[in-house]
Amino acid sequence: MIEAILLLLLILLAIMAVETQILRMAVVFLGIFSLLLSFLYLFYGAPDVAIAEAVMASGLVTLLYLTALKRYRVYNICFTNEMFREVDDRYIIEGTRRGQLLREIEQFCISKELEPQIVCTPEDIDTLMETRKYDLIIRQEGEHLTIYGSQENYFIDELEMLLILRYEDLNTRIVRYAEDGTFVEET
Amino acid sequence: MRQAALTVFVLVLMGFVLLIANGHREILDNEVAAYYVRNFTSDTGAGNAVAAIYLNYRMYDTVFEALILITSIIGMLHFFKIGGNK
Amino acid sequence: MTRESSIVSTITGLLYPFIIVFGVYIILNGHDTPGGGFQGGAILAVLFIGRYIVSHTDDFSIHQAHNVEKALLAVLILVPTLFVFGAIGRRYPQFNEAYLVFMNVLIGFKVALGLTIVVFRYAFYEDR
Repeated sequence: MIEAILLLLLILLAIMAVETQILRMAVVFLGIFSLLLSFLYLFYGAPDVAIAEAVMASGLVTLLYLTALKRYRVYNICFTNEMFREVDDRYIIEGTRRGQLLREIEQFCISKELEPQIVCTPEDIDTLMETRKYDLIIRQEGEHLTIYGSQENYFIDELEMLLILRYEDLNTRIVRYAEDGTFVEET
Repeated sequence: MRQAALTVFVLVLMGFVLLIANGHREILDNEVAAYYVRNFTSDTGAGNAVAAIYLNYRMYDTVFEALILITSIIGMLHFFKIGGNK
Repeated sequence: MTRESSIVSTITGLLYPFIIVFGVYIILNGHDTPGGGFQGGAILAVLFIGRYIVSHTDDFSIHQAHNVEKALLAVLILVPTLFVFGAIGRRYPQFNEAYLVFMNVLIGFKVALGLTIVVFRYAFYEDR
């Protein structure tokens, strides 16, 4: 009876760990999975393996996954304006409709469990594209806004939806680039 | 369509494996296992059969496991050499 | 993790002695009860890693730990080779238990140091 319950719970937790949208929940489910598995080993009469499983899989691997998850939380956004000498930088970020857009992107990142980190530079786009330090580059040329993002970035599709729905009055367009740095043409 | 076909395939495979495994019983009645169970205390002085096996009968296992651990650490230190060796 | 939670650090501070005693117990009684060097070593490694996660100390020298681990590996290969292939265990059965305990302690320290090095090296460079 106990064996059947434990086995069913194991299957349930494994499915939950795969199907969860939030990665941190998946890690927690995997930790519980390992703990139940170690109970099962104990039930089958293998206390040595049970101790090893409880310590390694339930303790160390969970810590390791959480450490790895921390790396993917920071989302680097770069705001570049090549004519920053003519227009005051602070004026662009605050108060205007473009500043509103930036703040909205920031909020959007937070709702996706990412930590947005916005950098404002006067560097031109080619240098920025070469270093590949940023996940999202927003470039302003006069009245035009261009957003550069990687093709494999799942975030950029949802951002495009947001732009179409709410920021149609701004002159924006989205450019995706492939892994080797070439731009992908819009269909 | 492809996903449904894959699901059916996996389910059929699972049923097949369960069918085979259901009628099978693993019986380890070889002489070595019986010898270990009978004589491990007098041979090695251990109270735990697992310890007797991994520290005496199967000592190579332990030594090479330690070697694997140190090899993985050397590989890790080598490939993460970004900020010098701390 | 920029802020330190005082609740977490206090509770883990209370837990450290119990973790140490549990790990050492598992290592020293490995020859009689379930457990052994690997399991006890992993418990001790969780102690170091938990300490790093809670209070972000980096006073742990990976270089020295690696050297100690290499020395432990040499002893770990030498002692069983002499004991088992040199047939000391058959000639003097009174040393059997001491050999088991000594080997468990060696394996325990080696595994604890190894896992700590892996996680520390990983965490140091992933944090930046």
